[in-house]
Amino acid sequence: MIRFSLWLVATVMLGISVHLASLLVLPRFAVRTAFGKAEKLGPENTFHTVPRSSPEESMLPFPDPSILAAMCRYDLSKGPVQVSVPMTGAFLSVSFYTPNALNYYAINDRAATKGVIGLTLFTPRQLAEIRSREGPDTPETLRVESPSDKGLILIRALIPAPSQAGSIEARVKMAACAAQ
Amino acid sequence: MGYGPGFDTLRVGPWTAWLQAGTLEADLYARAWVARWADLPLGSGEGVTFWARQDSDGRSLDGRCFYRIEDIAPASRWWTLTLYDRQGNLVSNPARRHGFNSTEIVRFSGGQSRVVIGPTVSPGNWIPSPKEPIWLVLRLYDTRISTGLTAQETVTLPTITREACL
Repeated sequence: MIRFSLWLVATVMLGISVHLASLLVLPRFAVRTAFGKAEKLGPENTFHTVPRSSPEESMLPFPDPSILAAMCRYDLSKGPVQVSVPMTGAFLSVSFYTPNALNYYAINDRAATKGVIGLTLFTPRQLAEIRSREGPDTPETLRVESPSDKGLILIRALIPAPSQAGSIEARVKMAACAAQ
Repeated sequence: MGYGPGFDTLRVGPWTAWLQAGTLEADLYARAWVARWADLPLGSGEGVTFWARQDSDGRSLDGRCFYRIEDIAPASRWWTLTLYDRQGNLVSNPARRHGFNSTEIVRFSGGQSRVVIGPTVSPGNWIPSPKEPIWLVLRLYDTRISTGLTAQETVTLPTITREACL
């Protein structure tokens, strides 16, 4: 009986450890998925439009067929990155992810000024440096702090009707994500 | 595939959302989901994704059946409704129709709308379904739900009513 209970305890413990281990290990593979797929689109610090999703081809699972997406893999190790995204007249959002696909910031078209979302992306250290250098009268610009040197910016542009796809894509192609 | 027992879930009728999926506050289960499906979840401020794999009576969504999706008037500036197979793929069909968004949907005179899902051609806003289990995903873009919801009862989401099955 004692022998049986020991086996039972051991089995349950093993089950718990496997469960926790897979929960903890799984997100590490995400670096190879969303981020890895973005790598195939092209070089860093540039937006690349993601091919429109179809049953035959889709970069991400559960794609929204009404959304046109563009991605920029950024690298802040050589300096802050300036992001500028023109609006399209329909819903558009710009969201920021760590390499393991966790969202740390998002902004949408309602926050645009003069038809553009413009902001600068910093590492915590770069942000502290620039703040210590500037005086109190420095004009306020939108600054976003990235928790990691590298990451992913995703533009989601809603295409309300197929007839608008061309003009919206042309606007999204004007988006910039460049080292300062 | 399952929802996972995430702790920040919002359930409204047949719909489930993970309000913090993919944020830095996401729990272990939500993070594992993101990893498994390589999804880039909507951030708060962008919108909320609601998933349904059952109808309003709790029966598994099956593409061999017809469904009426009604009372589509979510508290958001834009919405899209999309049909997937259980692997998260769009399903190919001759109409190249995978869902509807709030602009393209044809409404009744009162502003209400209805979507019909089913394996054979149906009048109105019809999404063709494959003859296998399906997922429905409702995305609300720019909604106050994502920017901190307090009272769950203020969220009204569409009903999914099963009709005949082939």
